[in-house]
Amino acid sequence: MRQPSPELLLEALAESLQTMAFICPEPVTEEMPAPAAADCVTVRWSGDATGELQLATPRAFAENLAASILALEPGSPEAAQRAGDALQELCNITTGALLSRLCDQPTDSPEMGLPTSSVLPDAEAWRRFISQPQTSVLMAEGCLLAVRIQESPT
Amino acid sequence: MSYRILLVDDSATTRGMIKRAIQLAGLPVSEFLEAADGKQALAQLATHMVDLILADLHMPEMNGIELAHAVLANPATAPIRIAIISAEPSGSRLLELRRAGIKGYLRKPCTPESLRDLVVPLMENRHAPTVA
Repeated sequence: MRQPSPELLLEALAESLQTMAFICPEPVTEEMPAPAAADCVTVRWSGDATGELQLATPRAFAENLAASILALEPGSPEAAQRAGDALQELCNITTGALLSRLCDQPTDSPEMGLPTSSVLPDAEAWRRFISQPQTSVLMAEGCLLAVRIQESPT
Repeated sequence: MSYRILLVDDSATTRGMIKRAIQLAGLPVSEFLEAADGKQALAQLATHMVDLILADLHMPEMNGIELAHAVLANPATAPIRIAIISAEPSGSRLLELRRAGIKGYLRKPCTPESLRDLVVPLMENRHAPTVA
């Protein structure tokens, strides 16, 4: 398998967001305040290499994501109800899109785990999250969206 | 001729996304049934017949391959076409899917066009023998 890079990760994330929800992520061009809280989703993989991909974003983006995917009214109760599930699926699909870019041999067969969710409870937790290596921060639908990968050989 | 599809995925959002994409593709689906995992899918099939199952690979209870084994082992449900829609890169797993009798594979994220390309040939050939 190839080594992951931030460029490949951002390519996989952009493809996933555009195909799932017609959302185009953009670079952060100005200083933004850290979110007061954020949802965080992790998908791990194992096989020729082990690693994990994590996405973190305020709940407002997850709700917009659910509304876009399912053609719901933004701000509707159903969009709010589906927000966590939509973010998990974005992380799942982005991980698959990344791994398909890393697999350069037909025998490469990483196995993905199920998405797990956690919460970054305050701005300090957000700042700690984005200060980790291999982390990129983007803007999507007016919200911050952080994504990171960590890989280690088996 | 329209057909009935059973969507099997532990994510309700994904089931909604696939259903919407199939509708956008203009496929002649008369009814969608839904299940959150393989066990729920088998329970649905005990009372409802479908023409096609679109299942995720990884689910908490009974994954897509286990579901395919169970469906194809039952003479009442063996004629149903089964395809996997998964985020996981296919790679060497395609052979395992074919051996399980699964007739198609699509990697997420899927578009209306990619779903049409998957579903139309499966439904056109639905009366062909199901042995892989």
